[in-house]
Amino acid sequence: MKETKRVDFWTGIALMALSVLVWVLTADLPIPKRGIGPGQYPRVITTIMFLLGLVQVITNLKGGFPKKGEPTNWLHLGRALLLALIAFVYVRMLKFFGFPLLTPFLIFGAIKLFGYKNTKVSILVSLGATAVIFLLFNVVFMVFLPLGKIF
Amino acid sequence: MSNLLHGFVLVFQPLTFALMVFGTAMGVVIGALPGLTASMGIILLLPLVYRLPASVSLVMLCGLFCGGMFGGSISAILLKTPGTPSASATVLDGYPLCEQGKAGKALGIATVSSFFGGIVSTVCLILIAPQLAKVALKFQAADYFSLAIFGLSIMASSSGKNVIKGLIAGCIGLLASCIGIDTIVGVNRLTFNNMYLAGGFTLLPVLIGIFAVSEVLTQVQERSEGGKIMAQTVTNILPSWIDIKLILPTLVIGSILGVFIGIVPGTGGAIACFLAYNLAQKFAKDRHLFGKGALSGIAAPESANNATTGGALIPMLCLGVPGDVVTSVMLGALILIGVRPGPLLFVENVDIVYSIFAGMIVIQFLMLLFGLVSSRYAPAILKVPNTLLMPIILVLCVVGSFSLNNALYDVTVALAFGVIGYFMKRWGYPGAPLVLGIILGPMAEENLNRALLVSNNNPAILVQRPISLTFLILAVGSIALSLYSARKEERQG
Repeated sequence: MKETKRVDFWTGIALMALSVLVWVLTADLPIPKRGIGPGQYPRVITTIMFLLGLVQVITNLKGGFPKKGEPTNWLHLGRALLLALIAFVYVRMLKFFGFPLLTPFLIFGAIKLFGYKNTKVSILVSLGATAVIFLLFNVVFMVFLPLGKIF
Repeated sequence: MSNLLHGFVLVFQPLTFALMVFGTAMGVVIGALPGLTASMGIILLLPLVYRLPASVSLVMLCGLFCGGMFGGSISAILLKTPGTPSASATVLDGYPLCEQGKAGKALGIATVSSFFGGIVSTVCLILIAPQLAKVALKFQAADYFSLAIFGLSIMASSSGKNVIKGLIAGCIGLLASCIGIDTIVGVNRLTFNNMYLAGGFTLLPVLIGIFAVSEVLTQVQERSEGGKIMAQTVTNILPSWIDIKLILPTLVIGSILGVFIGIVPGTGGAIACFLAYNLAQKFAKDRHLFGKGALSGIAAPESANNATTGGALIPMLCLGVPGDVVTSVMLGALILIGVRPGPLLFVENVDIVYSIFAGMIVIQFLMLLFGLVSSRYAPAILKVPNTLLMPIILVLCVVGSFSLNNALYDVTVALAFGVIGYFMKRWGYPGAPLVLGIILGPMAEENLNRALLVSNNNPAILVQRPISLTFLILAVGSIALSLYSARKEERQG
């Protein structure tokens, strides 16, 4: 799963940058006379984080700037990110189209992204799972899933 | 004793018993399916959990925990793919036995060993937990702060070779717990004037994201379908008395080892199963058969991994520090239903504690029953492809995070943490310390503040109290030891 030492190096840099950012963002928070203030506690954490980031950078710089490791499998990464994107879009559209209408498309799309070949089974599973989950949550758990605005 | 009897009365209430049976059965199925883990199972049950009384939901989760730990052995034996990391060592002798046409025997031994380990660990839980809770009642603010740091450091340092990455993940979790309105002064902290962020990150969407959504994203990249089932039919599951006599010494040693490993925070079934397997390899009567289908080679890891369940519950219930990843998810579930684990649990919620104790005993018998009966149908269950299961799990993640506040914002948070968890996994950062950081962050801040108030801003209080000092030494020691072993391993190549 580990791609390259270069990623570790850049993560270290990003952590250090984040630590500095948090340090700046907490500058205006009040400091009480006794006890730890709301700004001091995150600063303690970010100080440790900065040091850990620095360790990451130094460790990966041993022997020069880290060389390129195995090439990223863009197909794998793309598939995972595409599913995440579909899920985000699904959530954004849920309020408008509603759970019962939109979910079969999400499940069907995800099944196809997973590479399952049988389309008939995919459709059946998409519709069946949506119906079961909708009924289970709406009737048994009394969690009223969004019905959408178009109906 | 009367408390325990009362616990039995509670677990045999119809609803509690029914959900305990459901939890155990679901645990066995989830554990058996590669790619699904007990922690994911608990997460999927969370929408149901916080609609139930605490004792009922906890017993159900314990059932899932124990069932999941055993269930992993089913696919380890039939598919050569451990359903959970805790069943990794079971593959070594379970699958060879399956290849010899003795899948039933292997599953029977795994079931009996899991039952034995579970019973031993439950007895230890009942004996040790109340005593430890009595000691923990003496803790003061400084001790609690150091305990939180200890819990976090030990979880981070148990992250294999990547100790620094584990610590970074823990720090990110602590930082994430700072987001929102500060509980001490009441000012907005790191919220960027966003009204959603003012409430901070709710635990449930974070748990769902880090442990479940990230897993779905990881599996879609490889389009993993699962393994090929070697045995299509499973017969002769019940082990003979001769087999039991052969594995008995292994069961005893594996169980004791498992309990011990379970108690140590940050460890868990995956470590216990290999340690027990290695130990059994040295003394078991059938050690010459190890790797070729030795019964002790199944008994050792299976008794050890199930023995970690009770062991892992001890620090979680008494100190509020989880023993492994599953108990860190359970800790999150407890907090969600309004129960704060720790020594006070043994004073304020005796009913809950003893229903867990009694429930754990009953669960072991249920697991034995399910194991012996359901093994026959295991090949059919394992035929369900991941390619169909994972999309449904994604929808359950969406619905689960929505159900907390009926808010789509929580779903977005779960998906965002899912993507974060995916990249963390990809780059070798463990997810458990991040979640633990979010759980323990408020505890650490609150108690550090209290300790400083009491001591008039003197941080030396953290090293002046013996309990606090002990935890801090243990924290530093565990990190140093892990760094040393990682370095040693690296040098050895």
